[in-house]
Amino acid sequence: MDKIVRRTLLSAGRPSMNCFRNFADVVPQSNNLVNTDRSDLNEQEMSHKESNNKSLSGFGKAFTKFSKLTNKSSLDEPDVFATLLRHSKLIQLGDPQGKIVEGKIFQVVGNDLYIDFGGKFHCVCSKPNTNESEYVRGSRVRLRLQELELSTKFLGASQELTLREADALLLGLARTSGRKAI
Amino acid sequence: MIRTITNRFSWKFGRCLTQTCSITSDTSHCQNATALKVNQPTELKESELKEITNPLRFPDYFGVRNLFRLKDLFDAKVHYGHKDGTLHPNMKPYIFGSRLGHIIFDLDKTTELLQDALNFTAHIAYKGGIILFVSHYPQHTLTVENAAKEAGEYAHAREWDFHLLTNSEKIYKGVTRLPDLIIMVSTLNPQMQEHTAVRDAAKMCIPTIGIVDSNSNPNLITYPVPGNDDSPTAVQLYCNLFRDAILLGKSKKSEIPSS
Repeated sequence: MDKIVRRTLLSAGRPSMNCFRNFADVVPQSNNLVNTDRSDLNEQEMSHKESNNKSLSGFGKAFTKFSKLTNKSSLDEPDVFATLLRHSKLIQLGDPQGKIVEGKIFQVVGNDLYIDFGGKFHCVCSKPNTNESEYVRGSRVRLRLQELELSTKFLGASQELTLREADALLLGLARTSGRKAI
Repeated sequence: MIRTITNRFSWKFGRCLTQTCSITSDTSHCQNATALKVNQPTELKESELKEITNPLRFPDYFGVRNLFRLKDLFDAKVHYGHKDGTLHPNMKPYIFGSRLGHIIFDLDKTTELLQDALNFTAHIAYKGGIILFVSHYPQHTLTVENAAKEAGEYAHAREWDFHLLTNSEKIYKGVTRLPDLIIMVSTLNPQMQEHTAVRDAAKMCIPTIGIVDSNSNPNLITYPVPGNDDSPTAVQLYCNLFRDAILLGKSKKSEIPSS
């Protein structure tokens, strides 16, 4: 429950809390609709929520409604390949050329950084001169993708030759919420 | 180099190298014998023999279907293939499609074929067969060797010596027992050509299981499993699954009352 609180608050953000209050007032709250959709919840949970709905109003009401919505999406995750693929990051990415992604360094060999960004292959970038000490195994970096796989046809060949590597430009360290890169 | 291979094949795991005939022919002979015994019982003996079941009568005796789900394959990036330009024509039946030039495998087909492969592995392990993990992808050498070690089986994840299977008696200077199953985690060598083990295993009538990527040829492989063979997550998943299947087979072996 705490996790849901944190997640909804983060996604809501401070200014939009007023939004929720207005939305709850505008949209008619019909408990019947909500209860029938929640057939997969156990009885204890349902009875608890029913009793709560009578007493809550405003933000509390909206919060319980929207927290239920997030629960529903996690329960309905299908095991059908076509649907999984359709909602995957690869399809969302589209044409890899020029896309900014975040990667993680899994190996450092001399001046070369081997970075895994979640694609089929890793990419190899040279360590930049600025912030050299920050580029170690496990650091998160930002990349601009050029290719997901380096494979081209050479003159006279019938098949392409693959390098088993991706191509990306190293933009710098990834900025996390806590710290700032110098 | 050859010494390390002999270590892996024989002394370390205390297996004796005396038989020349492969175990597949041996087991078929044994099965016929037990079948004859079961078919000619008296009423008293039938009740005693009820406990001994023939694992081959069941579609999934070891429960290998429960080892993984389609979502696990998806999360491990098994459906990622190479590009359109490197696609082998024999891999076309296993392809879901291509996304902006990148091949995507049909994981529904992959799950079926992977289940068959794992089932076969478990049966071979149950019968006490020698299983050899083969891979020549330097990035995954450690993963493959560790999986073999944990399974109590053998691995050859280095440069393949072409005498290994076809000329073994000359190389090891004595009668040798060849592996009963070869699991190829990658069917290509670093020169992007078909690994010699595929051809040699077919010559020596050794069944093979091979993870075939979109640029590999599944022709000579007994149980091809179409999937990604380049990503470390995918390879780790395959190694874990095959190791678990082998251990399942071996655990059932210890459950037999008389063996």
